[in-house]
Amino acid sequence: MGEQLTIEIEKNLKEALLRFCETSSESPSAVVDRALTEFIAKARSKGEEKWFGLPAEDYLALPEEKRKALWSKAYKVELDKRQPPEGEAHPRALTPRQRDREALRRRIRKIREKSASHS
Amino acid sequence: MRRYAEGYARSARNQPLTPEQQLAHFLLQPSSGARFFISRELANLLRLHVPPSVVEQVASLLQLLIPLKYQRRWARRLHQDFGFSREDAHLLSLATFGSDLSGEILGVDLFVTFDLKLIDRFTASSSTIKKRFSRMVSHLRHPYTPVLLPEVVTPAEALHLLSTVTEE
Repeated sequence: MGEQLTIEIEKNLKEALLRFCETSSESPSAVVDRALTEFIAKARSKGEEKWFGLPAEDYLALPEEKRKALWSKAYKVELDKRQPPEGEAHPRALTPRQRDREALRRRIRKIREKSASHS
Repeated sequence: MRRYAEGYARSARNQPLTPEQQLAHFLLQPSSGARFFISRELANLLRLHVPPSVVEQVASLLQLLIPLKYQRRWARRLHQDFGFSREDAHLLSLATFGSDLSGEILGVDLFVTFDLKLIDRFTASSSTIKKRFSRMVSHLRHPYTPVLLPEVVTPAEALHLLSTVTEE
């Protein structure tokens, strides 16, 4: 046996609920219970899905420039925070090798030449 | 990073991805064999402004790049002398004077960005930047002497490079 809660709803909503219950063969309590559960879960997940304080749907619908500006502004804020001291490199840290880097540059040049010739 | 995170959220909603979001998803595949890094600032930004479910997914693909000695100095020069924005200068210098949490590396090979203006600026001033960089590095001591500038590429170029490495 569940808990009881008395609520007031609009006459039209009550009629719609009763009509729904008739067609679905469910009790009003079961329907309201399910509707509330779904509503609360949705509201909760919506609360978690905030991007820069905006609901996800609103954020994702923003134009590219606006989204870019939000990230850029927030990044600047992070940069303005007090920075921790710089670390020291490990004496045996792996550094990029000049020879490998030159090979990498050649490959990048090749990709760019290829893409320039295609366009 | 932004394109990946947004693309992840869109695909979770069965919404189509933009070409850039698709590219970011192709690139950030654990199977590529590459290690992907972000700055501490970007990690904080994600934590503060992006839904936890997205951050969780993103965090599994990325590692932190920690600033080492000379990172700020080089960032200042890139900003003041070459006109890079503060954020770009910070990230570019981190790609040179940055290490992973275990301190195993010093700098990274590729700096990947969708920002074509940044790439153009870097390419256009490349020889002057290199001269300035060499001058600065010539005064440094071990283990900083072999540091190199990163190669600045688009995600499409990075994807091409990674896929051809895998083939080789």
